[in-house]
Amino acid sequence: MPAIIEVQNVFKQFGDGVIAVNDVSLSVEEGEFVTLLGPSGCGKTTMLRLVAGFESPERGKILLGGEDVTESPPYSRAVNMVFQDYALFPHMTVFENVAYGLKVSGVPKAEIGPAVDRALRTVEMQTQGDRQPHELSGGMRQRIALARALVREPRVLLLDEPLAALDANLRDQMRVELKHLHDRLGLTFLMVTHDQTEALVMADRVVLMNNGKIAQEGTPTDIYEHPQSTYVANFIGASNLMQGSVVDGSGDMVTISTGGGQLKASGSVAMHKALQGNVMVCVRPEKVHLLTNGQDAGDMNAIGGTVEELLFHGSSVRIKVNLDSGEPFLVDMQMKAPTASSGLPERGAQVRVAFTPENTSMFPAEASR
Amino acid sequence: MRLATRRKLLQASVLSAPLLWTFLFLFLPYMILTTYSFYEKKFPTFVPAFQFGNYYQLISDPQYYQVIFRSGWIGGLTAICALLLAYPFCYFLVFVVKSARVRLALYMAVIIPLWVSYLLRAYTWKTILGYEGILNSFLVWAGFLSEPTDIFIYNKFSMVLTLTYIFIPFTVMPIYTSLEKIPRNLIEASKDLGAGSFLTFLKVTLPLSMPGVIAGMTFTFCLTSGDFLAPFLVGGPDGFLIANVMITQFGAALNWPLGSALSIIMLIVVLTIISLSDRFQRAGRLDLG
Repeated sequence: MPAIIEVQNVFKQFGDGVIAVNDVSLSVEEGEFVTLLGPSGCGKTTMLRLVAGFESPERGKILLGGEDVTESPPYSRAVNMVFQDYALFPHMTVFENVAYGLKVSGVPKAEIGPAVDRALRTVEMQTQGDRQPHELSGGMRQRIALARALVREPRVLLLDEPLAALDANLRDQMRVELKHLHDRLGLTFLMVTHDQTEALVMADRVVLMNNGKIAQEGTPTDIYEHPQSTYVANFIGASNLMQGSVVDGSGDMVTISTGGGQLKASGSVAMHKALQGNVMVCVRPEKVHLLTNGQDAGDMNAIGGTVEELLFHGSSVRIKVNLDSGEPFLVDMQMKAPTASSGLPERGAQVRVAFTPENTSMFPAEASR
Repeated sequence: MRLATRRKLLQASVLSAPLLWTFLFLFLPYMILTTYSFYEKKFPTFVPAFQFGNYYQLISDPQYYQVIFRSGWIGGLTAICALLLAYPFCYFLVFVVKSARVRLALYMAVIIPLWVSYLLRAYTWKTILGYEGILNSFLVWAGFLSEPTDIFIYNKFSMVLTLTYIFIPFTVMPIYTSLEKIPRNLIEASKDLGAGSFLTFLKVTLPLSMPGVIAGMTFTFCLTSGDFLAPFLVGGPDGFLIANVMITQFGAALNWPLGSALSIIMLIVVLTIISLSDRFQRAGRLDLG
């Protein structure tokens, strides 16, 4: 499958000296749903604006469908953008807004009407054509903005924090709808978001950015389960990080010595070879079992500690454990028992946290900045 | 005392001063003017009456209706000149100038003359355009003219030029504000949807700045057509505007009823224009959120 977007070694510095994008390369395949994720100021929006043509890079190339568009203005690129606050034209009706992109590029009038209707139907807004944007709710404006971008049949749809301006319930609903829309249209989506849940739920591939560089890219599960740096582990979900060093690696199991004792982690031999020396061990809180006195850990790694605090989260309880080595450790317990309190340890109870070698991931300590 | 009563008393005491001022110095004079406009002139003074002779004279005597038309013509011409200068300037400030400091400096350069006395600013043009003015001296010195000329002053050209200079800040301010309020992402959206810079201006920027254009032209038109100093200083013998005629009626001609009728007509014209422009602006004022 050929890459539809090809960003090659792009460097963008703003007038005030801020380096927004620092030598980044990224390639997006046709039909993929890719999210650029990161905190504000990490360069993700600049990346999107570079692809749209609102910014031009100091160095590097941008290719769309194999064609170099680095110096092309936005109006000659086969991409369309859904803006963060929708940017609907306030002096036009919904219909005129959607028709705008066809009208200005000289599409015959007879074709505009049916095309606009089709686009409005795609977002289930076919009855709203005569209304003014300010009469619509946030969710409706969002759909109109989508229709306006889709009506031009772009090769790539760019979405700049499309859900950020919606309230929480609507956001959940639109997440699913956007994903369905992507699957239905088979179009390439490139979306910017600072919301990790949004990125994990919607994307085929997540590109996590930090300080103008790509920190890690991969499928949502890959990024979640195998973070390659402290930054990634902390940005996506909660994690327990422990410093350690590899003491023994054989077969598909490696032994790491940490402050809490020796731990076993699984993985390929090649990977372990690359991880000679200091490593960070990462365990997700929901992968941890809490063992009270006497329970057998079996093949799992186990570290002793004291329960310090219990935080009720509705469907789960987060338990803060103080390891014997003094480090804090988080455990998430699903609330499967009929009452909230059953099966939970008391505060101050002596426990052991246990996790399987499969759920113990690690990365070189050098990568932690 | 109950809270509601106290609040009402406080409200009344705060509002009474401005209300009294408005009544005494605006509303009452309008009433007096209206009353006088129906009086009958009996030389050397005038007597109370209720008749429309003054109004009839204004619309039937070319001397008067021509001056009303001239005022409208000069006002319209000045408003258009001011718009043609102000719009590109504001567009340049808002969309081209990158540095906020430079933008402010240029904006203030246009606004600051408002601090200077109106008379002084009008008089400046007399010293530039006049017979012994800067322009003439330069042209003679450079050899373009053998002797000074007065074709630059005491005509419609010098009037419109002076009035445009004096009132252009009132055109710049609302246009600048309306351009600045246009969200940048609307312009980006237009380009993203395939429109070039010119189409984007025509279909997005210009329509969204219309409230400012209308407000700016209304200000300039009303201020210009009611002006009396510029005609006096640079306007020449046939350059008199409506205000000059009013002054004559209340002064030398001693015909207060006719002057009053003229004032009332002017008041009605200006109020009509302002309410029309307000309606247009309201129609154009959109929720940019």
